Amino acid sequence: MSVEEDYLSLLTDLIKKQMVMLGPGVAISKARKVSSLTVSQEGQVTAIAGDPQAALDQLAREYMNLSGQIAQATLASLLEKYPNIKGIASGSK
Amino acid sequence: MELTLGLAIITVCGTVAGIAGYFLMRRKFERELELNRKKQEELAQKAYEMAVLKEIGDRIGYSLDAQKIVEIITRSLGQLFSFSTASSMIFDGEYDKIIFECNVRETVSPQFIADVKVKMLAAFSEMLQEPLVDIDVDESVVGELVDENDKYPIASFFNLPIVISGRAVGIINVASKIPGVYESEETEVLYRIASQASQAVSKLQEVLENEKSRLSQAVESLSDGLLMVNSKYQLILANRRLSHLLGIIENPKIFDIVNALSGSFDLRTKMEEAYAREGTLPPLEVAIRDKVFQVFVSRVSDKKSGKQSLRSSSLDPSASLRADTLETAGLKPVAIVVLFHDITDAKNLERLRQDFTAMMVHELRAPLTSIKSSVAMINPADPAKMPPAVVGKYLKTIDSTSQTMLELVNDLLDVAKLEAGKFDIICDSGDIAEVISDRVEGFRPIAIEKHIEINAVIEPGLPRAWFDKVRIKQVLNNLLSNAIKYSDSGEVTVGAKKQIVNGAPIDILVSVKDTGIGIEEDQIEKLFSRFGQLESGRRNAGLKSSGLGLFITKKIVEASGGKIWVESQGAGTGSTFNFTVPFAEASHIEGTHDIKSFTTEKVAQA
Repeated sequence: MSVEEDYLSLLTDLIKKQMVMLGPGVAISKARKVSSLTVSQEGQVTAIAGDPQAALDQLAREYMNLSGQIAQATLASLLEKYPNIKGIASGSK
Repeated sequence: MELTLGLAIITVCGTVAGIAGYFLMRRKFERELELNRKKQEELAQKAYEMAVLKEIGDRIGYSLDAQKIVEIITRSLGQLFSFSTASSMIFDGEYDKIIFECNVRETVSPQFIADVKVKMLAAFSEMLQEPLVDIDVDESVVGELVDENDKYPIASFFNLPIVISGRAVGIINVASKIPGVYESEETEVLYRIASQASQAVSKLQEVLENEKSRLSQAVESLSDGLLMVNSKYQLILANRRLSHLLGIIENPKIFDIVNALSGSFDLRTKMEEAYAREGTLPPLEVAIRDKVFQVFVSRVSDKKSGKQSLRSSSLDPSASLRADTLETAGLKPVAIVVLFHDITDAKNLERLRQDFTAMMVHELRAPLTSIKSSVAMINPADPAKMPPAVVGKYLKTIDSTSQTMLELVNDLLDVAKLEAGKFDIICDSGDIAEVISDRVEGFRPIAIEKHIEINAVIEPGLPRAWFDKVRIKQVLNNLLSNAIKYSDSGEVTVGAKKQIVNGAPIDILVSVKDTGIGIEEDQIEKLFSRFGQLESGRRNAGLKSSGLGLFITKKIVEASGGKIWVESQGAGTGSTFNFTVPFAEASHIEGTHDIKSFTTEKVAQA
């Protein structure tokens, strides 16, 4: 998998997990606040316009603003599956 | 014509400008209205947020009750959105039981509620990042009727996790039959409330944990045994010292403690008595195993309940704050504390004091009887008829017996001074060898009488020492007297030499060595204590003395800046008493000191 595919997959996983934890409406509306992401109604990230790391940082912050430590823990466990992707700027990994 | 055309153009332009101006003004007005509306919404959200947080703050107090946070937020939801159900799940400490409560706002089907529960459990499982296995769910449904025929499923929902100190303690779920109702920013206010409430409670929990930890350390460091039970007599705490004193396991159950006390102390009855009355029960003296304890049983009251009770009684205008009002409005007991103070040593000391007094009375009565008998034998009616040799013999007996009495009384006086802190030691520079030689010669006649050889072995050229001449003589008298007293034959040697440590002389070591009855190893420690002879049984030698000599000797040596100790290989091997005397400093010898620089010690209380 290319790094870009890794980002697409990680972002999708993060959104889907947040959909389970927070509910689909809240999780997707937050994801759609990240303007560089194209997110389907099912939580699938189909395209990233621009820097994928910046998009991940912004999405993570959106979720952390809502559920703090829970979002941080989710992202940390997801990042373990994607060794090519570094953690967010606040240092969740 | 041109003028008419010009006027027409001006009129048209004016009209267009007027219309455009109207629309621009209207648009501006609408924008301002929109901004105002948004501001009002934001203010309303802020007011809601503040109101909910205030209620959480007021209601939670110091209880750290996550359930209350969930309850307050759930109850307030109606002010923000429409919903079909508002549900909560509270997790217990071990995550093996969940309390699920569903509040039905509008009629839904049982399947709707079941789906809510599944979604919440899925969210919880995702939060824990592990599947939920064998979890017990305690379920309750309140509010509107549930209708089997209602066919609407969950069309939209959101979950609000409650996390305290990094640990998930609950989830709130809001669900509706209407799709897409929880995507607006209004939802976010709830997350902010939950986050702030969690942070506040987490901080409070941290403070309380720190306080608890400090309290636990204080309780653990107590030299007394301590236990506390709640109003249901369930054990809240028992410190390690209690387990040690009662000889039971650490972290015991209340039954372990009751069993250990069985036959000695009825713990349950005493706790019930304490619970029923204010203050502390009179202390009880209880023998448990081979120890004696003073046991204090007292109740802990909830001061808040007392204040509330008093406040409510003062609301009644007819009620005056009389003593009985205070009593009935008394504080609510919430716990019982039982403290076990070990007084075994104090009791032993008390017994030793009593034995010592009895012994002293006997020791003083015996020589008095002897003196009285001797005087009677001299026949005061006609002493001239008595042969002078016989009279001389009786007078000698009276003299030696009264000397023994005087020594006893002197010892008692010295101990009394020591206890009162009035035992003076006045040191000066002097020749310790000279004092030793003098004392050895002084004891030589008594030693010869007992066929004991007595010698002084003094290292030549000993430096001058720093000591109280009178008191050091008292020390030597005591040690030499004991050495001769506890020897039937053999020899007594008094040595004096420089004590060398790491190649350098540090003070003068004086030793009094005998070949007498010796001392058992386990008795050595007791020798220098106040009741040492009583404790060690050394008096069994049948020899008359106060038994205070070594106690006084130790105090004198230590107050002079020295140390004293004894060496013996056991019974029948003789013993050696060693003590040290500090060197006199150069300034003492040269006489450059003034009177204040002389060591004047008040010996501390024994």
